[in-house]
Amino acid sequence: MISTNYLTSSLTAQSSGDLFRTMRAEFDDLQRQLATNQVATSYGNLGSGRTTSLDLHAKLASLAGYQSNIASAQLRLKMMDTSLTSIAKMTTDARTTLTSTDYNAGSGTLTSGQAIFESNLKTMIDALNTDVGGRYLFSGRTTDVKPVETYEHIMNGDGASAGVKTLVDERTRADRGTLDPATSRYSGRLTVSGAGTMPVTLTAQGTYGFGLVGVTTNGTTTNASGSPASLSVDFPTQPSEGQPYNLTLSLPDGTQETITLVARANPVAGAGDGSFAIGATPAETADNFRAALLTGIDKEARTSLAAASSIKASGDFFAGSSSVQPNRVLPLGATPETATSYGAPAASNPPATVVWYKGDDTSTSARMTATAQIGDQQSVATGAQANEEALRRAFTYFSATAAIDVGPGDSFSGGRYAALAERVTDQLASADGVQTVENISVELADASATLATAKDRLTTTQSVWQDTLGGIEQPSTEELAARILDLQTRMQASYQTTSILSKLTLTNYL
Amino acid sequence: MALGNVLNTAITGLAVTQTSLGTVAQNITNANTVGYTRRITSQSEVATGTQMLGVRSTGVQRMLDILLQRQLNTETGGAGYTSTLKTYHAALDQLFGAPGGASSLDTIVNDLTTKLQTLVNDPSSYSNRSQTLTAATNLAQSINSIATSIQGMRQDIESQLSTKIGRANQLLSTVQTLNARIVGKDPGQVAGELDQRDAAITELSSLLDIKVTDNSDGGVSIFTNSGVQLFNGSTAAKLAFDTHSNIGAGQAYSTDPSQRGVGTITVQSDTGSPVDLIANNSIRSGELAALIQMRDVTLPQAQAQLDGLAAAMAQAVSNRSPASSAVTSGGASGFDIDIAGLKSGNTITVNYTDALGASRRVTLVRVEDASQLPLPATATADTGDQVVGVSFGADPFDPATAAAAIQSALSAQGIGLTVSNPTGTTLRVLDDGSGTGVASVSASITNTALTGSGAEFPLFVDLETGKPFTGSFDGGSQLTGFAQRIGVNPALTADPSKLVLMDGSTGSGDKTRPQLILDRLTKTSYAFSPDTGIGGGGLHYSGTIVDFAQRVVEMQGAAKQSADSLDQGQQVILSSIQSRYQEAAGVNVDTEMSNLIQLQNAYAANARVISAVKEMMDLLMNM
Repeated sequence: MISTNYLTSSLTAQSSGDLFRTMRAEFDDLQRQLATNQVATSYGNLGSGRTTSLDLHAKLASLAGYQSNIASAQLRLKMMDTSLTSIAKMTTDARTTLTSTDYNAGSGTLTSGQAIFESNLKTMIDALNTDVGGRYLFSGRTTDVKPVETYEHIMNGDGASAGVKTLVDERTRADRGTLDPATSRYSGRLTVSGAGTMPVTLTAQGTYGFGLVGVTTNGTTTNASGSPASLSVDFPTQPSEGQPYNLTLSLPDGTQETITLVARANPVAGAGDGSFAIGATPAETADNFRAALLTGIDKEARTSLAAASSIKASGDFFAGSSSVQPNRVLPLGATPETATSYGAPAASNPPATVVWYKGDDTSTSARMTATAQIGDQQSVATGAQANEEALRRAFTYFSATAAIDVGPGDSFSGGRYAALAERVTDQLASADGVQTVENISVELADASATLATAKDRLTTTQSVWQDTLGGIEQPSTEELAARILDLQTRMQASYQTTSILSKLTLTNYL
Repeated sequence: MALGNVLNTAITGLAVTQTSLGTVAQNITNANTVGYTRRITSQSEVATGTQMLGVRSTGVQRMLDILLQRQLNTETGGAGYTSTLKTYHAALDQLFGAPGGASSLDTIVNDLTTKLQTLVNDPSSYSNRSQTLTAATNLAQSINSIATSIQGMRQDIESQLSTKIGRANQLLSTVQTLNARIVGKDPGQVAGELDQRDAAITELSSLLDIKVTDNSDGGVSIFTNSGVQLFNGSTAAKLAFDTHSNIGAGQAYSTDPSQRGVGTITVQSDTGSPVDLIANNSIRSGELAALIQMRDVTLPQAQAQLDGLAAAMAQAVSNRSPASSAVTSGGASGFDIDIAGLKSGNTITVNYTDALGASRRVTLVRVEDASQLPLPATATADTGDQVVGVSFGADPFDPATAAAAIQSALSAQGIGLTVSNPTGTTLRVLDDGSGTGVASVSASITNTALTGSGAEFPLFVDLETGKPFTGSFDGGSQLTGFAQRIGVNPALTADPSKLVLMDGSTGSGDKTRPQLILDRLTKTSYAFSPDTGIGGGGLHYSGTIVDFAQRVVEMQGAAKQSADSLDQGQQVILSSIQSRYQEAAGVNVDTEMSNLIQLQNAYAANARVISAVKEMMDLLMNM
């Protein structure tokens, strides 16, 4: 602070002193600029560029934030892609695995195909439990929660809650119904009218077992009707030789099976080969038809229905999540064979069924559960959930295959295995209009591409802004050098002049 | 003429030359003395009729240009003013840090937004959460420390003022003493005293702008520019300054002594009652004026900027705006809004058209302490609204009572709106069904809990009370000095997960809350009080918090730059006056030397006359 009194005599010395001090300070400032490469030490000294400088600093900071978002999102996407690629490969391979590995009851309880699926299941669980720096990638918004339960708990339950195997067993038993002790046949919960009645009437249970679609003969289709659905096959006249009766049944997994029975005057000996004898009267023919039908139903119940039950139960198990209880055969603990009710059990703790997916399941879009902000307006969705449809489908078929009983000692095991293989081949990898694992991969790859583009754009913008900022905050070396030189000359001249002037006093010449 | 006469004449010549030599010697020896004005010896012929008796010295005169001296005094005061402003503006500017520097306010704000972006990207990461909290803490602490420094500067100014007033009193009493010696004397005999008095007056004018009038007896009188007498020619008035200690944001200047939290300068007037020199704006230049301006205008404005910034940061994150729903009742229409949890200081804003069809806005501010009513129009930052304070008791308040209180407060202002409490905590605002119309109703309600009340939460709190910032007016405005007290909620520091978790069911990767903080800081526009001076023209500034922080830094930088250039200009003016003054009143050794030669010659010539007289005498004697 200047508090000196500017008064008279000593002013000459003072003003030249001031002048030197000012020049010296200017010199020091230029030197500082050269050393620090910064024009100013405060916004006040920066001059009119300070508005731009403040603005650019804020912009660059947000760009830095976006850049780091992109870097971390790209790492996550890479990891997710690795996981999904391996799962996609497994689902593709699985189609050929079951058909290429023929049913071979072998000595163990699992066929080689089942063993592969079991290992697929374990691989898939590991892949979906991938984390990057403690952040789980397939857990939706609850990124600190390991999304998928262990293989052991999923398949066998955790003691208190049931696993896939229990659900498959319950559903299989509920679907095939009670074994008729007299005939050793399963009804698949279809009620067939008694011997000697005309027409032959089939009634479905409604919830479990086979559903009825219709019967076709001689180009005429009779659709099932009523609730529960029932269907009659009448023989008002004798069928002609070789006339087929195609009974179409629906299965719990949504597939359909057709039992074809052909009327024969002289059927090949042994029932169950899809033919029935034309009797002396239509009533006799109806009885023959009925007997052949029961045999056909029993065979389907032991093979395709069991496969379908297994898939249905698995599918329902994996439809469950932390907020959704999987459907079970109700009431819990009752005999499944006679059960008539299927649905979500009452909430309990521990839950009736193992919660396989512990992550976030409240979002409408799995992708939106994680977003990377890469611009003021632009954000990229990079979330994923282990319970997305395509992944659930893979889980369903893998675990259904692993859980189904195709052990030796059952002559139908081969048929069951074939029925399952057919379904896996048809439906695992793709079905029209449903999400596939590849779809998820493609969506994430799109996100990754967007990130890469954004990164390029941000890098360009960043360098432009940095250049501009440099123009404001950093001195030009050339200009600085010129100014220093100029100042130096001026200072030397001033010193010199002052020195000469000081000698030029009359005192020296007296 | 007799030879004796000639001898006498020569001797008077020698005597005058000696006196002049003495003056030259005095000038040379005092060439570097502060306040010394060059002297010259004047002389005149001594003659009676036809008789020439020689020369005599008529006295020593000061070489002084009165007009230049006045100008010098004025410009010295101006320079004292600008250089003091410059110094304090530079210090204030420094508080906001170097461009892009790690400690500059804008860098710290930018750092928080960057960390928030990262947190939005990965909300579950512990390190992202703690980095965000650290950045928020840095910001709060940076605001604390800048605000504390600002008040430190005000305290420093207070003691500076006290010292300067002491100095001014010393100078006035010096003037008084010297003046007594000068009055009635020949100026030639009291040149030294005159020099010293002038020096004292010049120094005084560097402190405050004064008017000096010369009296016929050689004395002076001193007034302030507003006419308050400081020295009446015989007695100096006593300036007084009541230094206040513990100056904080709440201590401001007021013309009302009971409201005044800082010291003021008084002078005992003739009538006996002390005159407040600050109140009647007597001091307009000089160091004192600069100090007063910094203490009472510039620094409080900087404090208001930081308070506004801190308050906006706190309320942006903690305040929710409940949705309103349109409702009609009978012929009247309006809106329902849920005011559950309305805190003291929280607001309800109603946009309506009055009976004349003009669009108006009224902001209802809840106040617990009814003694604070009515609230000033500056209670809200918005300059386009009418502020109505409403008191309806302490928490928990009864919504029906609240509606009744609001109704009567509005009626008292002649606002034709009907307010009721139809159910629960709902407040219904209806028009009169004919003339007036309610355009919208909104509320800003502070969430005080970290969890369970939505995405908004108290990220920042008032560290002094530990409570969230609600803008309360109970027991004084919570806004004043909030910059010193803002801090990150300690409960949040203890559990950073609450930066993300809004309630029990929030996923730890849920970005809702971090995104809300980021958007409220960078995208949502808020009104900032005209006290901050940013809006200009007495209007509020409307912008995002990040923008506002930039404008604060920018404004302080610009103020510093203009103070610099003002001072530079003033110093140029001062230098030129000084050099002109120097030419007139200063000692030039060369001039003195040439005078010396002249005097030597004159002395030699006089001596030669004496020696000639002697020779002639000798001739006479030897005849």
